[in-house]
Amino acid sequence: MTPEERYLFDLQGFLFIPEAISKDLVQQMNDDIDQMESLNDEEANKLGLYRKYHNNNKDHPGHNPSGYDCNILSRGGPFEALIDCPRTLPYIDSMINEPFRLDGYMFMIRNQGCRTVFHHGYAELLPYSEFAVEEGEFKCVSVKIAYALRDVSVEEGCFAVIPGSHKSNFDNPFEGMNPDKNHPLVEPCPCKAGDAVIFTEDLTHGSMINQSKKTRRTLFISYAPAFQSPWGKLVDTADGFEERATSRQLELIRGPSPFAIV
Amino acid sequence: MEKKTKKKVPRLLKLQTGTGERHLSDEERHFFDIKGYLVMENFFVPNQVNEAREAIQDMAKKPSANITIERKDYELELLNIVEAGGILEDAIIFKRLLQPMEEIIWGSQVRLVASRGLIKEPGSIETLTQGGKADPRRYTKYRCFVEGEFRCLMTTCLIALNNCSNGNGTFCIIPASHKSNFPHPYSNTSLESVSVLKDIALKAGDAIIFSENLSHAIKSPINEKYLWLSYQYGPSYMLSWPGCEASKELRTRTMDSEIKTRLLKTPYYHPWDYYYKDIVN
Repeated sequence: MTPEERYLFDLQGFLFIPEAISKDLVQQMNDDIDQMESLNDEEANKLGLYRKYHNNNKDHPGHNPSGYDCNILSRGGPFEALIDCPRTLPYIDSMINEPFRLDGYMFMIRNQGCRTVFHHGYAELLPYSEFAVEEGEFKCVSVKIAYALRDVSVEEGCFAVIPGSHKSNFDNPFEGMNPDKNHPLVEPCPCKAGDAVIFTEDLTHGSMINQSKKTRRTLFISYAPAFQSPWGKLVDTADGFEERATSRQLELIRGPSPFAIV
Repeated sequence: MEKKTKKKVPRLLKLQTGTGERHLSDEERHFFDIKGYLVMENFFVPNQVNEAREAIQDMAKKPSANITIERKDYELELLNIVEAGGILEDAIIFKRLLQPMEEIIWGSQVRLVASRGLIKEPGSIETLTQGGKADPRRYTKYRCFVEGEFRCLMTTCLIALNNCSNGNGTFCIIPASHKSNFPHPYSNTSLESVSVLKDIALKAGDAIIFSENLSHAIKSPINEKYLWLSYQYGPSYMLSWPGCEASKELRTRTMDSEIKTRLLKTPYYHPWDYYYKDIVN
């Protein structure tokens, strides 16, 4: 990290990384998702893909379901490339600062009317998401990367944060609320396809309401110290992964020895 | 900002506020925060001490399939001793142990990370762990926040199965070292020469709960073998110590106990999130 990146990540709790993944890889992933979208739930389940729906678009009844999350790493293919993305992984290394694992890999779709309410912030009481700095080094315990797979504007329901909220000393009054772009605390993060936002899970974050007919597609990949467990099947891989994977990818998925530092 | 309609979330399941659970007295909470440990006298009654001693000795001779024995110089460590059943299994849910652990770690979101039976022989050597910020093991972190909400990571309960006092096989600690900002300079010093080290005299059946982030060690017994039981708890998302994963047999036989089931289940983040729950093996 450059001195400015360190300063900004500490100050705001997130970093914007333009063009984190190539256009070609973005295209491959979108093509694969197009195929996956043609499957019904039963067919998806047979392939090990499980959709968690968000039916919160009462204002847009013609667009149910309004969004879902999915364990897309078990799809394999181009998604495996992001396990150890060379553009972003060095940041994770600096932010966690000890042996770490990939603890979650999730695909999110947000259709018209869908959003993710604000959550986290004041998370010192939520131990698995702690933001910490000791002796000039980051010691975060959960760092996430949101990769945009499509251009997404504020109106199209982009990611949104409350910068600085990872250091709040008070209960988060906006927990569970829809992010409001007009509120002086809120910062929407519009992205181009291939851009990434790296953020500490301690930061208050969510997404704007998608007011367009365009579907937002985002990959969320999460990393944590080795002693923390993975999020269920969100780290399941496709058949043959072990043969294809690099040693670094294998270590990130299996997790380094959890209590090796004694 | 417009508030969305929210379902009433039970306080225990709410992420961003405290659990509000209070089991320790104000004096105990204050003591634990300042010193990093709490002593519980007569945690086991004499019959339970005898049962635990016999079980550990039997396991050392004839270990069961799910218990691993690690032999070091003058010391035997029986990993995953909870599998032995009986008092060694029941102790994990004793109210006097579990309630403080829940308060110190994360309410009902605690799990058993490791269990051990220890047999220390005369001559056993143990180095004093680093504490506070100098402890490189981030999983031991001691934390206490607003209004006394603890969020400690690994926390240990050590149960003495012999009378230990006067430096003879005693458990010893550096009080308050869980908040130390500097490494202790005693790595190459014998425990007897560390003036700031405090022996905790324990009778057979007494227990001590301490933050793993506290500098601690067990001194060698002088004449006979000393037995200990150690249970380590952590937040629900902390992995089991290698070799301490609950076996299928243990999970099956404890199914009737909601508390044991919760303590022995695979690591998890959100107890109410059926999406993750359903797809976790």
